[in-house]
Amino acid sequence: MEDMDEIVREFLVESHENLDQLDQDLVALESTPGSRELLSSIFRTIHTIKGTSGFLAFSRLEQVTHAGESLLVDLRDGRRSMDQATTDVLLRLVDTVRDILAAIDHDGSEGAVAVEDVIAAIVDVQEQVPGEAKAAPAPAPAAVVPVQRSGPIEPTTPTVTVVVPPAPSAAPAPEPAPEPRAATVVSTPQAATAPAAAPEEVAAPRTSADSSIRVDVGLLDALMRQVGELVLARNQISLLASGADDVELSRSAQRLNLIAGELQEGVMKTRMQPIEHVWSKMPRVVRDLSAQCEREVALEMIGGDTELDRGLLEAVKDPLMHLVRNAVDHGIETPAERVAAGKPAKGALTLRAFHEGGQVVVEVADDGRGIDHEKVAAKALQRGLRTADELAAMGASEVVQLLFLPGFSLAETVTNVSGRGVGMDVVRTKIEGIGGTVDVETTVGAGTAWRLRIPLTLAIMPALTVECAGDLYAVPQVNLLELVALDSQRKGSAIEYVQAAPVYRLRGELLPLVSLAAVLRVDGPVGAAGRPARSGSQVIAVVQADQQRFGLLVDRVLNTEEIVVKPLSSRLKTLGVYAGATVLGDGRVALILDVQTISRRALTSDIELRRARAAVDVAKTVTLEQVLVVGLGGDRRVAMPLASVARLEHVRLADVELVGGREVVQYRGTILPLVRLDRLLGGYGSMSDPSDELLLVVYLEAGRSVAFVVAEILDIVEDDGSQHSDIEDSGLVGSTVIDGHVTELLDVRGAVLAADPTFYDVRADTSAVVPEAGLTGAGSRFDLVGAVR
Amino acid sequence: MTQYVTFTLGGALYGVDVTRVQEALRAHTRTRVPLAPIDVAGLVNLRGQVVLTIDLRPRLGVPPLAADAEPMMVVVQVDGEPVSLLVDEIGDVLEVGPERFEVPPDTLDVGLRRLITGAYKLESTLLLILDVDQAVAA
Repeated sequence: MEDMDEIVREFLVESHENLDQLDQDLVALESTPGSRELLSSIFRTIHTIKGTSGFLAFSRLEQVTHAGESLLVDLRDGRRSMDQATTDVLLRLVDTVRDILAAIDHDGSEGAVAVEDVIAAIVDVQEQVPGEAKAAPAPAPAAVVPVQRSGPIEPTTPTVTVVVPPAPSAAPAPEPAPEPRAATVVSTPQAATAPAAAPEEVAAPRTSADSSIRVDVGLLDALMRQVGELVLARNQISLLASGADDVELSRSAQRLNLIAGELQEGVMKTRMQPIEHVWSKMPRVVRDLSAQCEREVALEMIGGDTELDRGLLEAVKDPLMHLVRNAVDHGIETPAERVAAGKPAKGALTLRAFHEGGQVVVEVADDGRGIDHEKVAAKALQRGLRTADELAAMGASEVVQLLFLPGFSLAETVTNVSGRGVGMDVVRTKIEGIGGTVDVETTVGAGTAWRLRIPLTLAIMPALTVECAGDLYAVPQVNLLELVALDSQRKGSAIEYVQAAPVYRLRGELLPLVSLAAVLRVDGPVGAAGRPARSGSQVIAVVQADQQRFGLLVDRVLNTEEIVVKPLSSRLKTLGVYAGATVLGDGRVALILDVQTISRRALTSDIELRRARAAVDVAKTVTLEQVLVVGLGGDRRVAMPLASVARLEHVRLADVELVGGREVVQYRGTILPLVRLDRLLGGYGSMSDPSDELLLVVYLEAGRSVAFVVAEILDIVEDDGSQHSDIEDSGLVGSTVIDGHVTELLDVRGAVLAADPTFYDVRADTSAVVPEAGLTGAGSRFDLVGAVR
Repeated sequence: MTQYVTFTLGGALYGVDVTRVQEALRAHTRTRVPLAPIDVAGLVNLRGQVVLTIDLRPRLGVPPLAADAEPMMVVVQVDGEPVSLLVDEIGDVLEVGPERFEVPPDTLDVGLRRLITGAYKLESTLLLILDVDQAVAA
């Protein structure tokens, strides 16, 4: 019995592969109906399944494939040509076969899968032939087919009983069955070549079978695990060897290092599969859907050979399918709408996969109607997911991200394809579950592109190790945005509270903080309302999950390293906050944090915070502005609004040229006038040129640039406008205290005019309408320009 | 005849079916798992594999381990994955026959009855048979 099971299993594996191929072939055949090659491939597949099922005594499977085979014989021998009805019925056949295989896979028997309907439908299509096909071949099928099917004109259950008789005869010797029938066809003139070609093709082996073998996935997983251990052992040996003086040891360690690295790479490769495996189903899906939704869609697939870890591939399957369905149903318009919009009637759906920055990007792009962010906003408001104020504060692209909220659906009507509100949030959850990200880019009227970024492999990922209450944890790099060191000594950088929620001002925006110790309930003394009771320096790891940015408060950051992800025991998985565990270089075990879950747990008062943040934002914009603090030499500090800075650049002193008494440099194909800020401001202790390089702060407006020459870039800080004192001095709008230093605030406008008096001329009309504070002092500054000159 | 790996825990002798035991060794450094149930003693690195460690003491009603104690680990297989049990001392592998087996007395605490499938009457003491699956389950 054991042997039998083995055979059945092999049959199932092989058949599933064949069916995927069949789907592709059938859809391809529809567009190139005359392709003998495709027809033969399809015929071969069905025939193989039929033969094996007869041998394994799966009678229903045999019946249904037998019926399909006879239809295919007609096609192959040219007695009928491929049309919509034929494709439909053949695809139905494939589905039925798949159902039966699933049933066999499940409990070893064919189960109760109904085959009668399909067989009846196939026979039905076959019966239609005389009416449709050319006059000459018509009698031939009529003569051939009735041999086996004289009765079943009515698609009723008795069909089965009529079809059954030929089955047993074919069962013991599946091979000869098609031969006699092929021979019969010889009488049909235009099919004369068929018998010669057919057997040859049947015998032709599948090329991939020659160069590859099937390997049990469990074996690959075990190999991967062992390599992971080897890598860890290697790390330890390397550590030991680097501390010893033994040349032999370090040489051996080096070789071990090399070999282990190559082995790791090689084993990882064995687990890689081209994304084609998932895509192969798409032509069929798109075809069925476009017929169902009355769309015309041309599917293009680029980069199908891009490889992914098989585990990841499996996880990407459903989300991709969903995105494709969504694109056909919602993205691409009906042909009439498209023509009216001046687009070709046939919509384009493009699947693209490529490598980018150590990740695999899979893109599903359509050229359909795009997503109207106003509609999204209206829907979000209607559902109470966001308030009108919140929506008003969001940018268009931010609004579109709301599509990823659970239960969000834009569809006016629920079709059985999509629109039930279970969708994008599931896509996102799944992709994030494997350490990937999803984003969407859309232009109304021009189309939508969904982009999945997926790590190459699940087994190894870059992570940041952090310390919290004496324990080490790993934060996946994919979640990490930046690190902010909290210096308790520094004024103005402390944690603030909005009601009970701790927040931090990060470049003018309130960042909600989550104390890791509080989430994990470690480190005993945690103050009321989750406020961290500890003092001393801490680090904020700014992380992102679910489009929600927040700061994870940890004690210390150690380093980033590639970690080998180990699965957690099922008991610990249910805790949710851990995505896995890993063994660090020193052999210690560290838990990998699940940032998504932490975000969901800790930020439940999200709405509250948003409201508070919106209120604070209004207050803040009045007084707070981010400024770039630069040094001009001699301890002189000047701050300029960060908003006016385009870039920071170094240029060689030798590249500075003089044009009409002004210093300029050639920069990216344009002439960039320079302003020596120290000279402009009539500096004391003038700035020397210590090196042969100048540091420039490039200011860009309306496509034109001016560069300020400064000595050093010091910091980017928030400047509180209420603390300004007014200094009536040329080139400055005031001064303030930043980090304990008196810092002058540059009047950028005046300074720019110093370099290029015509800079604002093109916009003169607007600046006349908007009276700016800086404008009033322009006259005096112009004098200063004269002085410099 | 059945073979049991024996160990002591809080003065009592326990046995685990020898076929379930992968190895017994000195306890490793454990990484604690915040938010985990009380009987989860942490994670250990067992030759590169991350293994869950269970402290049976709370479940068996034995007072907690002294801070300076050096426990041993018995690594057992549960559902195909190794789980380490913290024990006081590892004993011999004993082979006992069914004639000495008895189901646990009715007076045994209900919680314990789930963990202890029965006892073998040895000459000097009782060998309590631990149901590994129950002991490791939540």
